[in-house]
This record gives sequence, structure tokens and C-alpha cells, in this order.
Amino acid sequence: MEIRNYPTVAQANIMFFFTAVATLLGSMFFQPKLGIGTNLWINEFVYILLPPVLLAYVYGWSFEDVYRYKKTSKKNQLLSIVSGAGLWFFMFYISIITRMLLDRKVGIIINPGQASLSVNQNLLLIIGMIVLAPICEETFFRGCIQKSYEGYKKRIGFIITGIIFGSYHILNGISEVIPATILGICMGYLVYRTDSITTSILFHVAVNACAVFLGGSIGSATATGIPIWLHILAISGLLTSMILLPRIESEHHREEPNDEERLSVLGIVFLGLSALFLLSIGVLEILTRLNIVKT
Amino acid sequence: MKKIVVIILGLSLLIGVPLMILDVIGQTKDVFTIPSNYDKVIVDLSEESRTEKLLFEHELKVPSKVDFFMQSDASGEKTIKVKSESDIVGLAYQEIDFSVGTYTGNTATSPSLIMGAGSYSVYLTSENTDGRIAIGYRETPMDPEEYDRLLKVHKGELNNPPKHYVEIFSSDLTGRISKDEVVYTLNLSTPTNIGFSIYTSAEQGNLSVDIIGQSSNYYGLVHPERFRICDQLETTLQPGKYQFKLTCEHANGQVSIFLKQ
Repeated sequence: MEIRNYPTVAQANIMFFFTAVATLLGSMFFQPKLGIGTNLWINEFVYILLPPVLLAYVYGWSFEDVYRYKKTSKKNQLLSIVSGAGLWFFMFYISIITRMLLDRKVGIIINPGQASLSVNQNLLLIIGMIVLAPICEETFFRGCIQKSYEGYKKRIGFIITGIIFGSYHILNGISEVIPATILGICMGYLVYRTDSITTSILFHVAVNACAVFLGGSIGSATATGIPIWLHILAISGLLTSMILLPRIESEHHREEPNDEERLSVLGIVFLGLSALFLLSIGVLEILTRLNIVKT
Repeated sequence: MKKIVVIILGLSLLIGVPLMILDVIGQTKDVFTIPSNYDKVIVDLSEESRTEKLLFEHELKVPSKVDFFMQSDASGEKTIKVKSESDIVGLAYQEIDFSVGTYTGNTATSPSLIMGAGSYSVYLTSENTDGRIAIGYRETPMDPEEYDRLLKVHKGELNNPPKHYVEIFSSDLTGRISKDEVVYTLNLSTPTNIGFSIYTSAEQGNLSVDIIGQSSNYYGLVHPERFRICDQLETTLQPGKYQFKLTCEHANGQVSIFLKQ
């Protein structure tokens, strides 16, 4: 039996399927009982970080080599943060446009009642989004899944992972899929280029920090339509990222797998199951918007 | 790098776990937060499933405003029906249903109903489920003049706004089709205390009046059956543009909007 020193595509796909299902079921159970902040921590630690950590423990993999827990230059760190913050404005803009289109063309989701958050839940949410989500999700997606897909197709591993990352965000709503996919591809590119997960973690921190601290105020300004300054800010953010991202320096020697892995039947089955599961979540949102399914 | 990540996650847990514990303690301490000046009825939902089971009945000696405060720590469908012998001001019928979600702490369903003299009763429809529902209620006698004014509005005489309110829009709804039509725009350069009163005599069709602003939005302020009167909604609005939007189709009667600035 071949012993691999990095995860296989089948392992990654099985893990992704169970993570997606567990995130949804776990959130349905824990969020009403423990609150949105605590639920986020459970999602990040238990369903997202634990599987790759267990996999590394079972196979005796080094986090540095497999999940690319490696340092990178100060310049790369700074470029990752600034390009992440810049791209957030554009992604937020895309998310708003998608949501407006869905609201107008399909229908709105009527919220039966919004619970205001306690101070503790707010703090948990902020720490969860800015600290935990970048570390846990980057370990899972860029560290584990991207590594496995790079063994399948070296040069497009980060694109496939970006699409998987984006589709996972359908759990937050259809409007989040395109922005999360683009962000996922950018973060995957950073890791592909630098062979270090530090860059994608910092990029993710910048994106989530903007969402936490600017999302609410910018979002409320879009109630009557998208103001002109947001169009300008979004395009400026996109241009800034497009200028900065190619300036990321390649620092580490990337270990090229000798031969590209063939996709196993098990890997394809679980990727299909994940796609079906996430697609059904999207269909459910459409049916809810059409008022066929009640919230 | 791995060491740094482990330290960051460890520190996060050191901060996060106490926050989670404090939050759980806070939740269990005061699940229901019915104000102390309300009378309350708490029902255990795990005893049986109920269909319009009478919870209590009260007699109003004079026309009164009854404020309700409903909370529940149970999931599942729970409906509270309020039936009145006399008219409920602003409603098409002498009864109304309220759906109560999983609301605890600072969230609640808290409607206020203005009812004439006579008895009113409160009924519960619920599944057999773990948890409780709490219904708080407070009866405040109405000023007779104020009650008469609202009763006139209720009977279709819309041009009876409160003092200091001026009409900014009024229209006959019969045959009118509007979709998010801007009927009035309010431009504020400083934070301003504003009052709105929106009345309709529509008994059928679709009707909605929304106020859409840069920092505050109010949707569905009146409804042909459920809320014909939105009286003296007072708030402080931040600077910006606020649009009053009318949506109506197949409605009858009139709609009037009054503003106090």
C-alpha cells in the first residue's frame, strides 16, 4: 500500500462532506441553545480544525510540511493584509448586488424575529471571526484540501479548493458563494505562491476584520440602493488587490509531487454527495424566498 | 509558526470559555424578562398539546390599552389568540393571533391592543414540547378623548391625527396600483426626533407603507386586516434621506400619513 505524506483527494472530500453536514446540523442544534457566537466556536474548533488535526496525528504528518505552517517575509505579510482588506470591499459589493437581485427577482426571506446579541455573544463572534475562522478554515481548506488537490493537479489545486471553499459558504446564503469563491481562489493563490499558510491566514484576518467592523455600517447605507461611493470603493479595492497580489514573492521551494494522483471512486462519490448536499441548501433558500417553504 | 498558532488558539480558548460560561449563566438566570409591572401567566408546554385553550379572561371596565409581553424558551409553533367582546382599535376583527418564537432575555413579542370596555380572553395553541411560554399583560385605562379619536380613525375617519401632527400624504386606494412608490421624502441634516402616524381604512387587498432610510427602516407599518392604525411611532432619526413608500393593489378605502417634526 502506498504511504502518502500528504492527504489524498478522497480523504479531503470525505472530510469536506462530513464538515459541511456537521456544520449545518450542529448549527441547527447549538445555535438556538447556545447562541451564534458559541456556535461559531464549535464549528471552527470541532468540525473544521479537528478533522485535519486528527488526520495529521493519525498519519504522523508534520504541520509545517503538510499544512504549510511556515513563516513568510514581512513584505508578503503586509501585501496579504492590504490586498485582503481591499478585496473585501469588492466582495461585499458583489454580495450586496447578489442579495438585491435575489430579493427582487426571487423574493425576500422574512425573518420571523431577530434576537439581539448579548455582550458575551458579540465578543465570541468577533474573536471567532477574526482569530479562529482564519486559522481553522485556512488549516482545513488551504492546508489540507488544497494540499490534496495539488497532488491531483498541481497548478489548479488552489482554484478547485477556492470553489469548494465558496460552495461551503452557501450555508451563509447564496449571495455569499461568489464572493467566498473569489476570496478562496485568492487565498489559495497566496499559499500556492508562498508555500506558507501565514499569508492566507493574514488575508483572511483582514477580510473578516473588515466584515466585522465595516460590514454593518456600510450595509445599512445600502438599504435604499448602492451609493456611488460604494461603487468607487469596490472598484478601488479590487484594483488595489489586483496590483498587490502579483507582487507576492515566492519564497519557499515547493515540493512537487512526482506524479499526479488519479481521482478515486470514493473521492468522486463524496465530492458528488457534498455538491448535492450544498445544492439542496441553495434550493431550500430559493424555495424559502418563493414562500413555498416557511422560515 | 505552529507554536504561534497553538498559543493564539490557547489564548482564544482562555478568553472564550469564560465568555461562554458567563453567557449560559446569564441565560438561565433570567430566561423570561417580563417587566415587574406586568401581571404574568407562565404555562408548561410539556404537559400537553393545546388547541385554543383558554388561559385567562379579564374584564375591562373602561376602554384600555393592553400591553402584552410574550416570551418562550421552547421551539415549535406557539400561537396566542386574543379575543375581545368589543372592537380592537385598528384591527378588522375582534380577535388576533400572535406567533411566539423562541424569545428569551431581551427579545419578546410585545404587541399593544386598544380595546373597548368589556371582556377579553387569551388562548394558547401549542405542541407538546419541552419548555414554557410566558405571557405578561398590563392594562392601562385610555384617556376618553384619545380613545374617541382613535375610535373615529378605526371607523374610517382618518383625518383625526394627534396634536402637532400634520398630513404629508393622503390617497384613495380604490383602483390605485403602486409598487414601492415614493410618496414623501424626508431630508434630515441633524439627528431629529420624529413622530409618524399612519392610518388606513382599507379592508381588503395588499397595502403596505414602508419608511426606508439610510440608518433606519420600517416595513409594513399598516395592513388592511391586522394593523390599520400605526399611531404616534416616535423615534430619533439620524441625518439622511428617508423615503415613505406605498405599495398597494386591489385595496379599498384610504390611507393617510401624518408627521410630527
